[in-house]
This record gives sequence, structure tokens and C-alpha cells, in this order.
Amino acid sequence: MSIHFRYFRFFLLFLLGSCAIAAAKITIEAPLFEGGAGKDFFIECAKEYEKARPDVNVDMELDPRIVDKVRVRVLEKSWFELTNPPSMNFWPLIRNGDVLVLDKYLDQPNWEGDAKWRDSFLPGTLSGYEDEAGHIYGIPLADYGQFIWFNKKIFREHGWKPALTWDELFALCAKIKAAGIAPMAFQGRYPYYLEPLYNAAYYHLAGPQMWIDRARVLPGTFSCQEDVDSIALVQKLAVNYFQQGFLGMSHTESQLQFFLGRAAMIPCGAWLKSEMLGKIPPGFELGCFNIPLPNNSKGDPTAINVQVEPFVVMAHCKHPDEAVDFLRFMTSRKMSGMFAKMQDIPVAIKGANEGNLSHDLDDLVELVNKAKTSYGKIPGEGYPELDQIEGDEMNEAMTGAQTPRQIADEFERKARDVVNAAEHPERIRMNYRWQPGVLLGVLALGVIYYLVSLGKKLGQRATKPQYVGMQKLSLANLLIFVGPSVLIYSAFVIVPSLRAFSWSAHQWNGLTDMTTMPYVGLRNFRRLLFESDAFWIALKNNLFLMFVVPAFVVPLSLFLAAAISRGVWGSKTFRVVFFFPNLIGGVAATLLWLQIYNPQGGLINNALVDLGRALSFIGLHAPGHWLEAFAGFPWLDTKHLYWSLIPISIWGACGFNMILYLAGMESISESYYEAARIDGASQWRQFWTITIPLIWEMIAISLVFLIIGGMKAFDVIWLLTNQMPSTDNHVVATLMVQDMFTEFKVGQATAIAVLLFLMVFVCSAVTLKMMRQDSVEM
Amino acid sequence: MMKRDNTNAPSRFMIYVLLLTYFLIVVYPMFWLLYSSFKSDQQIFLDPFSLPTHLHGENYQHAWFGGNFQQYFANSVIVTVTTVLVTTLLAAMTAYALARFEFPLAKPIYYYFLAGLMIPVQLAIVPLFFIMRSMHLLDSLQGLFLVYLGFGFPFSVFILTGFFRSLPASLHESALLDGATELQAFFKIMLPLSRPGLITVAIFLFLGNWNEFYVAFMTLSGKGSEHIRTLPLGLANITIVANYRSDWGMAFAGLVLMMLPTLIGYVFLQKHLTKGITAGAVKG
Repeated sequence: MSIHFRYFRFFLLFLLGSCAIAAAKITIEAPLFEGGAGKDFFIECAKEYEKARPDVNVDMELDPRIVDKVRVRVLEKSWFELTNPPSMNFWPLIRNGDVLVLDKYLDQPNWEGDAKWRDSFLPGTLSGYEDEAGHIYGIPLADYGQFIWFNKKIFREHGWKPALTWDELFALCAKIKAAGIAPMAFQGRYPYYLEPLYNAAYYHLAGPQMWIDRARVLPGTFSCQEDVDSIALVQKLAVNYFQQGFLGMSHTESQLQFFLGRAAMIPCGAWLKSEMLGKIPPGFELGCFNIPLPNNSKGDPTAINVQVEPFVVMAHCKHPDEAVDFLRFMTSRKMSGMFAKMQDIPVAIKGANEGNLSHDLDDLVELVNKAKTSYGKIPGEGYPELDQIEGDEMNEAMTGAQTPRQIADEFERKARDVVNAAEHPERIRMNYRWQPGVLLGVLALGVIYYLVSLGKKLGQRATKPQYVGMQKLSLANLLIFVGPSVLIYSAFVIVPSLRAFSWSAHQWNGLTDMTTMPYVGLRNFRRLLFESDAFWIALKNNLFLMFVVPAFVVPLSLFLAAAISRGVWGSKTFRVVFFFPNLIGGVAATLLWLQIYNPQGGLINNALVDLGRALSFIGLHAPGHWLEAFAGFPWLDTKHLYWSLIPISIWGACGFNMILYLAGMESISESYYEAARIDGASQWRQFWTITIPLIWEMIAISLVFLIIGGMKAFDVIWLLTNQMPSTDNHVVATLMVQDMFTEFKVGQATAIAVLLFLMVFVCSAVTLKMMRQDSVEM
Repeated sequence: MMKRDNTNAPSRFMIYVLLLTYFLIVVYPMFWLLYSSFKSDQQIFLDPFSLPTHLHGENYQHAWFGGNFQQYFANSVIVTVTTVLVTTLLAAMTAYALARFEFPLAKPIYYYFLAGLMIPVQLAIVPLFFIMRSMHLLDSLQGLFLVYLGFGFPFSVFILTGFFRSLPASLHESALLDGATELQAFFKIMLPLSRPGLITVAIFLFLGNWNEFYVAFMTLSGKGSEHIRTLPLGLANITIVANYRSDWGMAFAGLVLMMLPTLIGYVFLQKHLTKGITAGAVKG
């Protein structure tokens, strides 16, 4: 019957399509995530769908960072039909009624019309967005199981076998290491790649029920012995058997290492092959096995850790029915089979994988077919803040800086904070006591100092002679000359700035009606100053940029200026060239350094290793000693990022400061130096007693620039961390963007902005005041 | 340039070595970027120091057409040029009125603009986002232009007010005596006279806006923004995409394309620029 229904619909559509050629087409707008799977399938699928439904036009935008755009569009409320960014949490939107409930559609027939749509998916794959009441909000396509992949050829040559248990895995790794091959490559720039291993260990050690309890943050589910043991397992693996330099490697870099045969295994989702297509050497044989089991598993030993990246339809879009229909088409056996075939990725649709996947996925298909259950998402939201915490804990685990017990306890504490903050938003935990006092004290002193000196100046002003020769300006001319700039400046600078102060005392998620945001007084500030680890870590990072970086930049710039001001041969060229890095701008410079610091193909590591080899060749350096250990050194990982910023800052800032100092030095009268020479003062002494005092003002100005620059820093951190800073790497400005766009905490974001403003204001106002009392004289 | 080079030979040699080392540190990464942009992805990754064995000009083709670079480039040129011209003009008019005329609100308006020097764009950006949403200015080059305009005023008005004060009053008076209106006097006499100040301001605005990432990122990431993204945004995106697809050649070529205009401009405007920095810093 349903088949007939389908045909009838086609017929009707055909009639409509041919009769109403002039009628406007329906457009489905779909900003989609372009992951390892690439674009081709979606373009093809849209084309086919447009053939089947001539009245519909599918407007797709595919981008690996589509999430940045989707978040903004949500806050813009410029609704599109459907989307699928995996790194976005749609729960706030679901709670706000912005995501379409799919239940009634799932009870309708699938595209083929031979089953209920709901029943055409593999078990467990519809749970991507399922709430506590069982309502479904997300449709899966790919079925991303998590596995450990291995190089079959290397394994065969050495007679190694896939590991079933953790003990076997460690024994296997030890053998591989002894054979001189790195046992496991790893995507260390993104610690969350470790989560599947950790989650699998927890699922089996603690059992399925506790696994669900943990996602709901029941007390003790993080600090329990099972959790400590799980962390210990992944930590042991990471510290002993991950490839050298893994901490600095992105996903593609580490995966390339695996396919180049430099590591024997790599943990990754089912998208691995597809993501690396075109980079895989011919003849490479891929195999995979399930994440190993602990000795006494409480879960189903065949269970697969599954991750789906659901498609959601926006409730307020123009054509929700057509959007769902497109998804129904996309999840038909024909289309999803095409996806499986084109991308070599298993799909979540029954009967679509068979015959469509290559032999590289034979192991995977066998594991999937054998699996009796899967685990992944639990119904309901859980606590999205846990994602960042879990990523941070994975980072702690793999760097080996803390013991598993410490990590588990910290995890428990942070998870409890998250729950408390969610259940009692008005309650603030006092994690920080003296630090906020110091900060507020310094800010208050700065403001008082500023006001006092301002008052003094205003007192002096009255006695000053007025500027002579001023003319009157007619009102009309006044409006023409001053009007436009005052208007634009007020609308785009002053009004939003003032509004920021007001918003910082409100709680708002940007989704609800702006006029009804509740007033919460100083709660946002109290949460930041007294409770938030993230804020204090970010501020500490800002302090590093404000004070440690200038300590390198200023002396070097002084040296360069002093050397050039002597008029050495070529000083004109030096002057021009040293300024180059300042011109190309922060973004270009940062992206250039991103390549220079690349652990594998970058300049720095290769230069250090080559230097080490050259030195050992002439006998000055033991072969394989510390210089050569820089092969693959992760300069930009969480731990090293800030020290790695110093060369970037020197490279990028010295030119500008040098020009400032040069200007100062060149205005010093030569007679001072002559007098000093007659008195027999050394060059060094002349520099300290004449040059420095006379250009002191320039040095102070450059310090203000550097300090304010360090306070406002955004681009460098944002880009060097691939737009996803870990908690330890945030600065205040990036934290603000994350609060606004990722967590939809608009009120808290403005509170951060206000604190940032106060700090910039006090720093610059006080320094400028101290420098010259009348620098802003009228 | 000062000539007081009476240092002894060894220390002069040391200074030279240090200067040349720093010279290499500054220049080599850019040179590396330039020649790597002609290498294949594989060669960039596996053999970073080597010169290209074969000129892979297609990296540029990919970046320019496939990477949408041509669109980003045009957008950046449009926004930057209009912002620089309009900010300079409006700021000059305001500064002129504030510097040379007496009217009741002159001082408060001057300080009103000066206060903007203390306001980081981060303070305003969140409310600005929602204000622009209600004005339908998000995801449009016009919206970005207006924000750049607003944030360009404090600095420009400040520098130019100082500049107009230093011009002699007599010229302006004689123009008025000849029957010119205030506007004519401004455009025909005062504006041409203030060229050095205008150029300084324009260069600063150019550098600031050509490389601006933050505001562009916040306001050009929504609906239909793909076609109006500016160079810094586009380049960041290309680099990230390149890391997903291991297309390093394209990312390198894109970087070269972004740096070229400023470096070429610098060679011609070098004098103005260094003078401008000093003037800006001394006055600021």
C-alpha cells in the first residue's frame, strides 16, 4: 500500500512539476559539515533528489568549519532547513524548541516504502539526539564505530596478531617497539581522540548501567576505582607506546604517519580510510580490531563504541517537510549505499552496507555484524560542559603529568561543579579567594589614580590661556562636519559598549526574546572571579603575554635600534626589512608560523634535527642525542604553546618597536655623546646614561602597546589552536567568544568583555598618565 | 642618520653577525614560504628545506579559483579601500571643526572621541552583534564597513586634530575673504594642505583593516557569508581546510597572495610609514 502511495506522490509531483514550470521552486538550505567524507556524495545526492523532486532545489554549503557559521546563524536566527556539524551541541536549541521533532516522520514509511522509516536504521543509531521521553531529533547517515586500525602488511611480516584485551595490547606494543617501529600514531592535537579508548575501558570495567550514570554525573562515578583504572590504561598506552611527537600532531598528520608505515596502529573512527583517501600509498593493507577489553568485562564483549553525527532539521525553517523528505531520500538504501561505496564508510541503514564497502573494511564489517549491542549517547542532554572537561582530562592523561587518581578526582570535582552550576545557578563555589581581591584592588587603585590625576588636570586647566584665533561655526556646517562621524561612532562603538555593561548583569542565551532577559546582578562576575577555573587560567595566560613576551621583545628591539642607529653599512636595508613581519599582519604571520612549527614538515624541527646530525657527523654531538630528539616535537600543544609564542612575538613585534626606538635615538643631539666621549665614557655607559634616559618615553609607549596587545590577544591563540583552544590555552578574548557562540552564554560573555575593558583601561590610562601628564592636551 | 661609529673592529664585527642573523631569521621564513608555495604537497611535507624541483604553479590556481581566493581578495579590497577613504574624510572634517572652530560642545565631542581610544572592540562586540542583527547588517560588507568606520574614528580624529592645529590660520581666512564657503575652504585649501597627516592616518587604517580578523569573524560567519568573506577569514579557513585535506601547497600559495599587496605597498610608502608610526606614537 505504501508503495502505491509513494508512486502516487511521484505522479502528483510530476504533474505539478510539469504544469507549474513558472512556479517558484522550494529551496532547502543545508549548511553541512565537510569532514573526512568529502563533498562528492552530498552534491550527487542533491542532484538525484532534484531529479526526483523537480520542484525542490537543494542549496548546500559544505565546509570543515561549518560549525562556526551554524552557531552564528542560530544566534542570527536566520534559519536554514537542515545541518549536521558534529562538534555542535544542539541540546540548548532542542530545549528552546528550535529543532524539529521527527517522531511523526519516523512513523511514516521509508523512501522505498517497504518499512517504517524508524525501522530502517541499525539498532542504537537513532540515539544521537533522543530526549528522556524518547523523542527523536536527529537522523544518522554514517555509522562511525571506533576501532584500532593496524597495518596488515607490517603485522604479517612480523607475525603479530590483533589484541583482544588490554594486556595483549600492551604485549603487542612492546613487541612492536622492540622491532623499532612506533606502536601507535595518535592525533595528539585533539585529545578527544583518546575518549573512545577511555570510554570503552570504563564501559567494560564499570558496566553499562554505571556508564549511563556517569553521563548523568551521579556522585562517585568519576572518582571510583573503575574510572581510575580506565584512565590508568589509556595513560599507560599513551605514555609508553604513542609515537614520538604525537602531542603536536593533528589528525591528518598522525594518520599520514600511520599510512606511511611509521607507526603500526592508530585509534580512529570508521572514517579513517575515507579521510585519508589520496594519501594512502598503493598496496597498503588496512585492518582493524575492536577496542580491547579489560580482564573482567561487565559489558557485552562484542559491543561497539558508536558515534553518529546526526542531521537535524530546524523547527522554524521555511520548508521543514521538504527537508525531512530530503533526509528520507538520503537514507534510502540506494543513496546511503552510494555513500558507503563512494566514501568507503559504513552507514547506519540496514542493508545498505552489503557489497558497497571495500576489502579494507572487511574486519570492520565483521565486527559490526558480530556486535550484539552498541553504546554511545544516552537519552537526554547530559551535561555538554563535560565535553571540554573530558578533553582536558584526556590531555592530562596522555601527557603523563598527573596520576590517574589525581585526574579522576579532578574530574569528579569539575563534574560536580558543572552539576551544581546547572541546578543552582545562584550558588557560587568559592574556588578563588585572594586572587579576585588582588585583581579588584589593582583595578580600583588604577581607577582612583586616574580620577585623581584627571581632577588635578582639570584644576590646572582653568588657569590656562585659551587658544586664540578660534572662529565660530554655523550650526549647519557643524552638522555637516561633525554630524556623520558622531552618529556612526555612537551607533557602532559607544551604544554597544554601554549596552555591554548592562548585559553583563543579565542572564541570556541569545535565543530567547532579548527584552525578557532576567536580571542577575553581579552573578556573572562572581562566577568568573570566584568560581571559574577557565577564567583564571585565561587571565594567567594573558599575564604571560603582557609581561613575559615584552621582556624578550624590548631588549632585542633596543639592541637592533642601537646597532642600526650607528649607521652601519646596510642599515637602511635592515630598517626596511626588519619591519616586514609587522606589515603582513597578525593573521598571515600566525598562519605562517603554524607551518613553521609543523611537527613533521615544519622548519624548526627539521632544522634542529639536521643541525644535530651535522654536529654528530663532525663529532660534536652524540648521534641521536637531544637535538635529534626534536623530530616531531609538538611546539603548539597545550603545554608548549605559550613558550612557542615568544619566537613568534619577537619575529612579529621587534620591527615596530625598533622603529620607535630609532626615532627616539635619532632625535638625541650628537653633542651629548661628544661630551661623554671627551669625559672618556665607554659606549656601554653612554648607552645607559644618555640613550636610555632620553628615549625612555618611547620605551614606555612601546610597553603600553605590548601590554595592551597582550591583554587583547585573540587571533594568535585562536588560529594556532585551530579555533578550538583547550581550557589551558584560552586567553580572556577567546574565552569570551567560546562562551557566546559555543555555550550561548551571552550574559557571561559580556561580563568577560567588561572585565577585559577595565583591565585595558586601567593599564593604558595609568601608564599614559604616569608618562606625560599632558599628552592628551586640548 | 647619525655617524658616531667609533666602535672597535671586533665588537663591530659581532654586531654585524648579530644583525645578519636576525636578518636571516626575519627573511628566511618568508622566502621559505615563497618557494614552498611552488612545491607539491608531498615535497613540502617530506622535504621542507629543498627548493622546488618542478614549479607547481597550480597551487596558485587552486587557491585563486578553487579556494575562492579571488572573491576574498576582491571583498578585502572593497572593504579596506572604502573604509580608509571614508574614515579619513569624515575624521578630517570632524578634526578640522574641532581644531579650528569654537562651538559649545567642541571639547566634550573631542573627549567623546578620545574615550574611544580606550575601548577595545571586544567590549562592544557582543551587543554589536545583536544590534547589527536587528538592523539586518550582519553578513554584509556594509555592516563590516560601518563597524570599521566607527572604530577608526578615535585614532584618526585624534591624530588629525593635532595636525589641523598646526596649520596656519591665515590661509583659511584669506579663502573665506575670497568668498568661499566653509566647505569650499575645507576641501580646496585645508584638505590638500593636510595631505601628510591624511596619508599617515590612511596607512594605519589600511594596515589595521586589511589584516582585521576578529570583527570580520564575528559578523561575517552567518547566512550567505561565503561570498563576502575577507582575506584574513578566507585564509584562516583555507589553512584549516588544507590541514584536513593535507593541501599544504594551496595554503602556502594563499598566504603569499595575502602578503604581497602590503609588502609591495610598503616598498613605495616606506618613508611615510615609519614617519607615521613615530608621529602616531609620540602623539598617542
